[in-house]
Amino acid sequence: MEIILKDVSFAYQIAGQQLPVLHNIELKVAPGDLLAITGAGGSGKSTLGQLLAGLLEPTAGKVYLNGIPCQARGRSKGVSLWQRVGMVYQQPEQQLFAETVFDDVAFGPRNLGLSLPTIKDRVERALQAVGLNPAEIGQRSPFNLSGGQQRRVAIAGVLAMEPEVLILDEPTAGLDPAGRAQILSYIRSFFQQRDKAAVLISHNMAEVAGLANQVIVLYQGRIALKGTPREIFQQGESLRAYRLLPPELPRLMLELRRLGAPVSTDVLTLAEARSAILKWLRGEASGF
Amino acid sequence: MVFELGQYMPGNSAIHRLDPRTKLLSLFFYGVAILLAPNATAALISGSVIFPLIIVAGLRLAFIWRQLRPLLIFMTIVFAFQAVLTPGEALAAVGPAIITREGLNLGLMALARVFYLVLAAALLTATTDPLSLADGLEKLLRPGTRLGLPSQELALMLTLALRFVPTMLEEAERIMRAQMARGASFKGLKVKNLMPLIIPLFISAFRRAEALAEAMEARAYQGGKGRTRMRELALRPADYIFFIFTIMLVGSSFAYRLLVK
Repeated sequence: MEIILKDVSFAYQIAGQQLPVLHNIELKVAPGDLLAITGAGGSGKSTLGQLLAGLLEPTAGKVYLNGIPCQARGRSKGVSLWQRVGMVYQQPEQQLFAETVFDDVAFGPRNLGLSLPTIKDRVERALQAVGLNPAEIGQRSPFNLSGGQQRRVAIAGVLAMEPEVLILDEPTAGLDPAGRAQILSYIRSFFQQRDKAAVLISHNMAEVAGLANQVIVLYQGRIALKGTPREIFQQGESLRAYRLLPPELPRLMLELRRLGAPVSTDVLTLAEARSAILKWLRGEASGF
Repeated sequence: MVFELGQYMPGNSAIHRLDPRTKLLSLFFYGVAILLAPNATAALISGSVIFPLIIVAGLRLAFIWRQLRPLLIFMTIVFAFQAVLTPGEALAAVGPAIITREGLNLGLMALARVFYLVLAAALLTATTDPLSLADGLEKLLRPGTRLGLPSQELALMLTLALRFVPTMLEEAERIMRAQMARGASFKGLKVKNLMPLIIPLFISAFRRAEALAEAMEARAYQGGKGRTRMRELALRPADYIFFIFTIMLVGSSFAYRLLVK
């Protein structure tokens, strides 16, 4: 599944007035992409995510799915290509409604009109994919679970649709560090399946750094930067111009370098930083 | 899906500056005046005093239209029923239905009543911000406190309700989209289809109410007794003049009714 946005703009209608949010966005998400969308609050991240998921209709420009121009969900009749795009909203646990965890996760597959055995199978796999035991939790009420568990159930509800592209809007917001790590590892394992793509919307650059293979930085409704995490994060202090805090490790390396230590600034993970610093301490000159 | 009914349009016109109590009471008496009108002509004429006020308030035609639009079907049905079902002198026939002179009169009267009442209510909410509306209501209900009417609490409830209408609508839209992403369809009015929207909406409303209550308690809110306010309402000469005109309108409407009967 390939999603392409061509010259897409979007404005919200509020009390008869237009509130422009996105301007002339060009974007492509193809299988094998793990795209991170970052940007300061109000830069249009969530809106862009909803456009990618077909939940909003662009005010200008076109959205193509596998090369076919598509209107947003709910406008076209019949089975739509959008079924293959899943969206996990901000705080998705707020969308839980069914009496049992099983029924809630089964809501999507039921809407697809699948047979009961298939639904059962999908629900179980989806719950397992987010580290929950279907036998243990399936018949409980989702409202009696902890916040982190509720979020995982909600994510399972989207995974059970077996999307080819999964879009997640701030999936780790409000979770404790362990919960964050869990969610991120589920995203990684989803993405590692064949022909899948994921879009991760986050204002947390460090979170994005280790996961994504492509990053775009939104600033005031436009794509300000686009590249691999390395390319983006090496911008260092200039990221502040887009009201983003550069991630800590590249900042540390830049600071060391400013103080005269010839270390590589091309660092994303803790392991990389460690080896770069050790290399310098052992007196091996890095290549510059 | 933007909710426009009862929307406040900030401004600084003479109508905006009137005391909310004047406007609330005038709305009430204006309604009485229109309901007292014994026939369509009288209703149409007595209600028309609203037009100069709308112009003074600086409300645009498009805004007025958006307020009336949701009631269009209702108004048509009311008119049609009155026009057709009232016995009397036949004027015209539409298929098997016969429109009578009396029916036309009653239909127009009903139409005028709904039309003017909606206009007046829209004028009130468009020119009065929700906070002063609640203040005004509280002051008007104040005499009832002695009879055990919790006027301050009622006003607070009104303010909060008004405050959270847009929030709830936004939330409803968000939940709808989230469920649509899971293949939900909100077409048709089956209750079963609406569950995925209604249940999360209620849960979040309760949660929000609880958080709000705690936040208010944390700031030592203890109910209405002995509360002071930053902006004290004060009646100005314009309020008295406006109110005198309102009373004159009701008076003449009443007198006319007595004369005609």
